[in-house]
Amino acid sequence: MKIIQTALFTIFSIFILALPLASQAELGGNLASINQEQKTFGSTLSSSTQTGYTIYTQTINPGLVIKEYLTTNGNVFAITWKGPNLPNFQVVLGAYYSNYLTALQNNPRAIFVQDDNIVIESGGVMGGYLGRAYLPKQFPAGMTPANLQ
Amino acid sequence: MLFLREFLTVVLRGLLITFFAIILVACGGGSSSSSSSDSDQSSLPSVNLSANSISINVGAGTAKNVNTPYVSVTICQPGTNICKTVDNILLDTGSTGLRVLASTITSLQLTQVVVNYAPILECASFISGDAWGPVKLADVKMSAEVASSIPIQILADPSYSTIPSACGGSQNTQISTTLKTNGILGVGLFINDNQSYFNCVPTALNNCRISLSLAPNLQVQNPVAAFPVNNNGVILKLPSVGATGAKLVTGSLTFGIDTQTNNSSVGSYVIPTNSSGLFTTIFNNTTFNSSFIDSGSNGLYFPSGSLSSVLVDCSSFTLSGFYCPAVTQSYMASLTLKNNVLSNVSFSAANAKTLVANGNYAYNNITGQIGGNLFDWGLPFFFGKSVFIGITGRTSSAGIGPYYAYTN
Repeated sequence: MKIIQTALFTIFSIFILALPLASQAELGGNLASINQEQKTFGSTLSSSTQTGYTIYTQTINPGLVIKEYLTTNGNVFAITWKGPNLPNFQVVLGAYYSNYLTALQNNPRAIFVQDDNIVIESGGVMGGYLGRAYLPKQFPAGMTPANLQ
Repeated sequence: MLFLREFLTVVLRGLLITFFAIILVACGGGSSSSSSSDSDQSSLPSVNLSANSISINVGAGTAKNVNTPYVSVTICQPGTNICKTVDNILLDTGSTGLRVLASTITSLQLTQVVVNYAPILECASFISGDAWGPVKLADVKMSAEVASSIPIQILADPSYSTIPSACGGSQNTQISTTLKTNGILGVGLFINDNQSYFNCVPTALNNCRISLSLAPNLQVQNPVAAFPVNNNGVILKLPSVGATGAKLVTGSLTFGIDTQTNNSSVGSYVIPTNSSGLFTTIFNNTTFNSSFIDSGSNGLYFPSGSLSSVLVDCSSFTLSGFYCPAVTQSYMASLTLKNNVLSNVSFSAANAKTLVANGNYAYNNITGQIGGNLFDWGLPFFFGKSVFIGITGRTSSAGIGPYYAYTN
């Protein structure tokens, strides 16, 4: 019985310890976290300044394009992705990765999270995946989800 | 202390029960059925229907999940008669390439694909999670068709049980833990799968972190595209099912389009896709320009939009994400054909909770939520139709791939 309890405690500890590791970046992150991400992925990075926000675009083998939207204060308030494969969600969703995992467990075929604080949409077929994740309360004035490319 | 230990035990028991429940729910699509006496249908092997056709079964199978199409595939050591026929493989038009659980082919010795003296490991993306494992060469046989010495992916290979963070890491996102089928046969629109590949030896430059640019012919291949003949696509034909579903239906997977007398596309509605395999559906006065046809999806998934007061979420743990309208809804959607001609498709959205209570496995009226401009024509679309999958760059009377086509 004690052995079982010890094993369970170990499982429990791993469970607890794993959570903070997921909170390193990215949605809700900043430019520094994007630069770190670029090193992690070995991606190319470019930026495009729009009225009220900036888009940082990474392209990663085998052709995945990830766009991150930053406010003028430097906060990532939205991410879109499109490509033959899916992004590393633990990295790009940062603190919101747990929301993704919950959605995955609820319905593994169609990832759909929508509440006041966070929206995550992911779908498509191998070769043509796409999706987006954003923080509705942090959109700059005049910007709407329809403006996400 | 005693209190703490008891408390922990209670908490842990709760966590473990939750964990188990999640695994049950996560098998391939989320709507696990509580049906009890289906052990007679737990194996659903294909039979050969002709030299270029095998049977498809939609039934309980190993997953015991709704709308799961199963086929059998024979896997051989290249150029030999040392083979293993693996049943209960998910037939998936939404992916490319064959992936099998290592435990199903332990009798085979397959050679690994090696680049820069290091074995190639793949991380393939599925919406339902990551597929991690080595790439090996095998002959892949179905009916009289053989794809010789093509790269396939081995899942849950005990030699590669450490999964790098670049492929989901230790987080429980691996499809091998939730699949509940023996593998996935991807017969989608593409020749190679175009996913992430890694060299993982410590001295290699990329070291399991940055994906390689791997030549297309070394990537996991669509077996159909590698057949000597009948290699321009496939046809999935499934019978109609009634409004309350069916326990088991059997259809056919035919290789080639307009190459034999049994695979004509004459009279079909042809849906050309963009190079990513996506096309446009118009539904409820909304344009969904990221539409796809996917036998690996167990429902029709689309945003409820202005219908959200009718298409309410089932809101039960095992059916979260599916629609549970109070009464069955009948809808019409338009698919974009060649020259922007529209073709109308009717479908129904029944109450998913009521449906699964029937204990059946094939339903044409299960629907659920998805976001953005996505419209996922999953397995319900296939019932009562022949659906054609035209491989990229390959020609038939229907046109040059990538395209989907269908006849009623």
